[in-house]
Amino acid sequence: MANTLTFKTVYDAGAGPALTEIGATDKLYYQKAGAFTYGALGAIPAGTYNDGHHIINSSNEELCTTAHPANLKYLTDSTVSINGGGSADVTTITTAQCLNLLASCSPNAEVTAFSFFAYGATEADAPAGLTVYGMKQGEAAWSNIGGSAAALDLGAGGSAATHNRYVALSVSPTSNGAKTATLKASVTVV
Amino acid sequence: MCERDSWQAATSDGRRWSEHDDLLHVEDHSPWRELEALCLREGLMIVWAQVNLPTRFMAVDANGFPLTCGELLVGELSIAGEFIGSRRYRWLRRDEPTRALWGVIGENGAWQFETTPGQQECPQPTD
Repeated sequence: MANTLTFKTVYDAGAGPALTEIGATDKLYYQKAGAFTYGALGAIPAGTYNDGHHIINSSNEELCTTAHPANLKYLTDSTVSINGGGSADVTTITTAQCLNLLASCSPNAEVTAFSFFAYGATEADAPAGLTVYGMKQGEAAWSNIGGSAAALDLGAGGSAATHNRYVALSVSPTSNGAKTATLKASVTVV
Repeated sequence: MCERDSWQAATSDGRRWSEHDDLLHVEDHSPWRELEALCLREGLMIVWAQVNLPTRFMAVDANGFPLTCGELLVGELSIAGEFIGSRRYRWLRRDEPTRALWGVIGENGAWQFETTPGQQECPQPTD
């Protein structure tokens, strides 16, 4: 079996909350507060942060119809609002509230490097008009992860069949209009 | 996986090895790490290595320097944009005192990189 890297997150599509693989053509969607609304009516006002987090398919239809992934909203470099709650220290974010990056190795392998960042037109570029904050679960502060030079170091790991990393994300448009970005994870294994 | 998706290597005693050799399959680490351990136990060196994918391969001589083979897994996920995809590469690295030479192969090409010695992160191909 070939080694693989998959993205997962906890949401409920009707069968109960579960850590679910994000399908090959599925996407993350962040919006303002309220029910799922794709497009301009769901837009996050410029200069503010996400109040809603959804998984959508290639037709931009919501997949998390019963319960959404946790919404992690940047407040300050060291604080977060979780699912609309009050300010909390970012160290309280749990793995179940994060994006799960899973490297599966058969046979067992060690991870010598694991990185993650968001990019726009090229990997060196931050997303246009969108600030993406990220942090490895358990760390003490958000950082702007726009562009390859700002990649998060998710750490090496000893030999194992599975290597899990958990990343918290929050976004803020810096101008009006539709925004997109690509999240890239890279794992080097031996 | 078949031999067309694997690595191969030779040791200084003339033996040839494959990622799929039963002797290299142990519970707690990869076949490459087991080959390195075997070389340490038996006082051998890896003299060349080759990485293979169904559409291409790349080989490198050790020239007396340590060689390492591994894989690079890349996953991309869109925020509200178009699907990008995931990719898998095989790489090999020769660790020289003043530089590390990397060879990387993937579905869409082959690349060579030179990095500072000791770098453990495989350089990123652009395909």
